[in-house]
Amino acid sequence: MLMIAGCSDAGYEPVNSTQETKTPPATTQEAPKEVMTVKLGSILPMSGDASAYGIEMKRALDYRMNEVNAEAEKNGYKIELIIEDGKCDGSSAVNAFQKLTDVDGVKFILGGGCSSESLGIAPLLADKHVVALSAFSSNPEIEGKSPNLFSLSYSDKLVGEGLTAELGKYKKVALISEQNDYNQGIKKIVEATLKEKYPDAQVVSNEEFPKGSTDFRNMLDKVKSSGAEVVLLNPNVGVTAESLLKQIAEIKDWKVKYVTQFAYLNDKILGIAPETAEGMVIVDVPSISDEKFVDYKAKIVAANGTLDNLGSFYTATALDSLNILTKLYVDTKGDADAAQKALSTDTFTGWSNSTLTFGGKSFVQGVNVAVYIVKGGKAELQK
Amino acid sequence: MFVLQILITSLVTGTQVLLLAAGLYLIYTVTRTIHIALGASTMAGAYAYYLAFTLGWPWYGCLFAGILFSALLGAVCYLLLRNYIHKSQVLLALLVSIAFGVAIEAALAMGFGPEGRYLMDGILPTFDFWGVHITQVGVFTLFVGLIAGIAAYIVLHMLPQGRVVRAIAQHPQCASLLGIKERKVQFISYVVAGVVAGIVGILTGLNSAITPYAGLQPIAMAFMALLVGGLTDFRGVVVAAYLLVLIPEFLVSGSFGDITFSASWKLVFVFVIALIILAFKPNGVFSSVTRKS
Amino acid sequence: MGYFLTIASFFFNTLIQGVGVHMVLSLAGIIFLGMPTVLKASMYALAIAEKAGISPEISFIIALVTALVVGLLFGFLFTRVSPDSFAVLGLASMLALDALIKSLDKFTNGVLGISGIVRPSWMTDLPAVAIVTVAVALLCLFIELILLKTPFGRRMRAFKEDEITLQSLGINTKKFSRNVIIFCSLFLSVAGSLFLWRIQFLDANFGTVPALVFLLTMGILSLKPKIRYVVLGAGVVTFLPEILRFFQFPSSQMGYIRDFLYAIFLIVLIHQLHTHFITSRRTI
Repeated sequence: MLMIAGCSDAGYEPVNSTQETKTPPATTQEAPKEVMTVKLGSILPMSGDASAYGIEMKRALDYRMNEVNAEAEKNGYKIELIIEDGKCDGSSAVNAFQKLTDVDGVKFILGGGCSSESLGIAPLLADKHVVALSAFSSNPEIEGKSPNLFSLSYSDKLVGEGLTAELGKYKKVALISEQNDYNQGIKKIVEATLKEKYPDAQVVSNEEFPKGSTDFRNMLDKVKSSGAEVVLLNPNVGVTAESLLKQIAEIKDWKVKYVTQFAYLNDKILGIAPETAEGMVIVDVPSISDEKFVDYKAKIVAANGTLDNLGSFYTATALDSLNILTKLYVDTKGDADAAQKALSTDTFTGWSNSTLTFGGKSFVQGVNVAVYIVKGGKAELQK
Repeated sequence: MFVLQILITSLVTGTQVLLLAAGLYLIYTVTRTIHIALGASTMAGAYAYYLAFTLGWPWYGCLFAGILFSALLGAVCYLLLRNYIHKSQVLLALLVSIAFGVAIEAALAMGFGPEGRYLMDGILPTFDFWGVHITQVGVFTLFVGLIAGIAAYIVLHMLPQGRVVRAIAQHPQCASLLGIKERKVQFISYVVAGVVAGIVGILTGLNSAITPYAGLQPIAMAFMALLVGGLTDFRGVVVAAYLLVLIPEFLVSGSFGDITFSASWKLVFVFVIALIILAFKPNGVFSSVTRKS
Repeated sequence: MGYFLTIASFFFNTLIQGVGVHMVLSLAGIIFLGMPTVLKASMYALAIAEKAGISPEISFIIALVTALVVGLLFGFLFTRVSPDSFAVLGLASMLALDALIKSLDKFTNGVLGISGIVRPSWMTDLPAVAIVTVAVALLCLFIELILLKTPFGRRMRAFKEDEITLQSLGINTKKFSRNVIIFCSLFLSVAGSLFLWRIQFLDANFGTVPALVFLLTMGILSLKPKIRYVVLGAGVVTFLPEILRFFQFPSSQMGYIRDFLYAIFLIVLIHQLHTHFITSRRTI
């Protein structure tokens, strides 16, 4: 079993840094001291289909920011966070980026949120000497896109390779994927890894359906007639995943193994067709079970509202991104180039992982996936 | 069995397209307008059903709510477009219809959120025979399509109301001179088309799920069926509706050596098939060349 | 400064699109709903060509040629089917192209879009992009101004008013309508290329109903045969969303509320303006 245990107080502890760490001076009775304003920008999907993620991330960020600003004098700095709507698309993210950098003078950005937002702003970062740290962009195309773009999320490559490891146990494989940037990213990784590492596994059916589709009956019959032994179910989370499972359940004489991603890590959906889902293998990152983090998250929920869509892992990365960028800003006195170097080489601590290191890459290293198996309508963590 | 299964499932989809195309046909025949907002009206009727469903109403209450709301929406559409219809301002009527459709979709997204909704809980019951299966809702859809088709034929060809519709389609001014109330007929056409669209939306929602933006693709297919069938030839519309569904379904379900097409190619095939037919028969599958005086 | 340059570039880019829309929709009265199709096809041609290693300048030529070919196909279609059918086919082409692009992901990168589009060497930064966009927009406006005063411009207006009379005067209206559609396609292609060079990212979801509503709004606002109405149309579609930002709508609803208000605005606009704009006054 793999559990992620975060630190009690997530923060920035450089291991190899040569930078001076700014420490707030001791105060007893003194005149009000100067408080540094840490000016950060954020590009999040605040409207549109992905707005639930953006809004919930804002809740987590606001809570932490208020916590820090309440002790501004003690800490020696306060956070000013300017959030712009990226609408989960590249061109809106570029507009948001230009507004943040040209009008607001921001050099440190939390974001993009969606992968398309991050991919949109990536080419602009280095020239403008801006550093960006995303909490939940996961598309593998982000890797190497810009030296100034980092992501605390796991790369979809990990999940894709984990899925392929399960699919590779069979000879005849079928893939069913939604035409969505997340799902297509997973699909490409699976196709490439199957070809490279499991040459005996033959893809007998490779189906795609338009985003938001709800009728899959003919497609499922086609996959059934291909004779596949295992089927990768790769829809987006929500009604699409639910509809797909329901319509699979309508086909009574089809016994096949299913392998899928986090879209089915939902007992409510699994409970709709427990017999069909029995034995389904789900690959995703483990949830964060550290008690201190769970309590902290509960406080955010009590104060600002639900974080159900964001989930525990991305709530942790959202908080980590704010903490890390804040400390980098303070330590480098707002020098984005120095911050970029530090992000590339240093090691940090956070809620999402006790050691967060990028090692010169765009994605944080050392995150592992977990495997769940569905039994009796519930997903049970295996390894 | 696989071919039979694809055929049966496609007939259900084809019937849904046909019902929508019939509504469009009625509106176009009587008013010469392209009513794109009918697609959004499809979903609006389904969401009215959904609202009643969540309030715990019985199924017939939900159906009544959905149909009533669709009828009202049809009436509102006519009131919005009537000035442009009477002045034959086709372009403006089209633009207003597009804008109204966008407004309906945005209102549905605001009210219910962009995620899909179900009109029925749980897995749909199916009929299984000869190695194929069809959902009960699918059977009901085929039944509704058959009844609607028979009713449309009887009304259009045997009843005075049908003669009125055909008279307005042929020569509106002459029909008015004969005492036919053109505006009343147009109003009723919009209401009837709205009701049909609502029924299609409810059937779609029962068979799978509904989302605010799901009306665009079916209405585009229904319009293609109308064009390919011939804008004023109902027989052609019936044939075209099924052709434009069956052929792409079989193309994406089959394989041609190493080449296969996934479901995402369906709309491309619909468009290409429509283009090919229209290239040879620009006035519809059953059209013939006539001299205009 | 960059933000204002972005808005200015967007406005002048919209103006270039407006010139094309003005010609085909407002002046010639051709209900060409395939405009987003042409725009998207041309943008993808440029992006794919650049990704294949072709220089931005040659890629631009390829984009223009693509627009020409697609415009020619639409022009041919217009002469074969009725105007109503043409309108519907234009709408369907938008959906079909969207499906095709997302399915052919080996060439188009599917739903992920194409990022890292390279600007020409003489247009590397935002101020240069803005200057070029302004210059091209003014050139397009000038071209349209000249065209309107020529027999071609008068034919466009005559085509909308009475096609039969135009035919009786010996004008090949089929060829003429094809030319108008091609002209529109070329203007859209130029606008699309400049837009891509500014954003440097091609979103796969671009070019569907919102783009159509955007273009149609400009078409309605510029229904008169005067250049200033094209500028008015471009101004409204550029700055109206900016005005709506000042309204504090709930974040999760913002996009839908904007769409709703935009649609209602369009309906009201058409209702208020159609009696004033639809009848053209004949200047002798």
